[in-house]
Amino acid sequence: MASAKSKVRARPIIVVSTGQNKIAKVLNRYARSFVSSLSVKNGRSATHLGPPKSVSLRVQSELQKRSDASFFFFGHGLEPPAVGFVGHDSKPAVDRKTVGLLKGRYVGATCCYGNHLGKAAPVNGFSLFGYTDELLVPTSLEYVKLLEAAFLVGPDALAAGQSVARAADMAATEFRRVAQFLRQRNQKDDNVIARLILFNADKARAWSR
Amino acid sequence: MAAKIKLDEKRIHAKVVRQLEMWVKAMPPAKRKRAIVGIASEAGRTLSPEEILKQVRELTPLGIQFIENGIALDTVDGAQYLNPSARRERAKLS
Repeated sequence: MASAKSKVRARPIIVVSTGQNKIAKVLNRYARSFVSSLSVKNGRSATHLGPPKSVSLRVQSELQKRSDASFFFFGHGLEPPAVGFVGHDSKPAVDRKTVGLLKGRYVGATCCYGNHLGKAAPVNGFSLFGYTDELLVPTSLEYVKLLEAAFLVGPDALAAGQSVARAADMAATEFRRVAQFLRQRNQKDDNVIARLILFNADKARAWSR
Repeated sequence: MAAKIKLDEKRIHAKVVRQLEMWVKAMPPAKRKRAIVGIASEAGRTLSPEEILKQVRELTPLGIQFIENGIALDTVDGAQYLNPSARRERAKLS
């Protein structure tokens, strides 16, 4: 009998990233690294909808086609009271009307307001790793590179079959570790970035179906 | 004791504001208004060094959390974040 972990491993993966502004472009860069690492580490390939393909209707169509796939989103969350993800065309790729498309999936949400989508997880039958309220994203190249591992450890864990709770724990630990490293290195903007990045450590969370 | 704690909070706030003012002053003027981090929400808001200083100075929720994060980092680091008189008080107790 296959273990729960191997069942998750066998699932297809859909990765969506957008690029409508500077912040989304940084997250798109992380998404591309995530997709590359999937094939390197696990020999798995993912369907990656990046900009400009990641418009709302295309995302919804992909989710309909692959109802058994885990779903990873890198981009902007809809502002509350709305819940869900923003597509590259700045239209809702997933919202209250289409949240049913996430049913049965493991979802990694590298965006803001995961807590609002998380509330819909038990009712709609999906498990979510994400961040409460506002996710802070570095914009200067040096820190974008330095923080890549912290942004990807959660999605990596989930893709490798870990639980959403474990993915959130690992993300929080990695953000804390990098913040501590920057605090000790103390060059240029390190001290400020360290304090800002700790926001993300405190916000990594899991919501289960 | 309550008054003492309040005094320490004020000092910590003033110290962080001073540190940020020095950090902002030391950078080229163009960099002061440039985004240092962005927020992954629909509006795509960004924070510049000047904006961070403003939030800390005005003790907005983000500014308060920013100060607390610094304390948390110093604590994990094993460093003291209390002012010198409070440090002496703690030394007497231990």
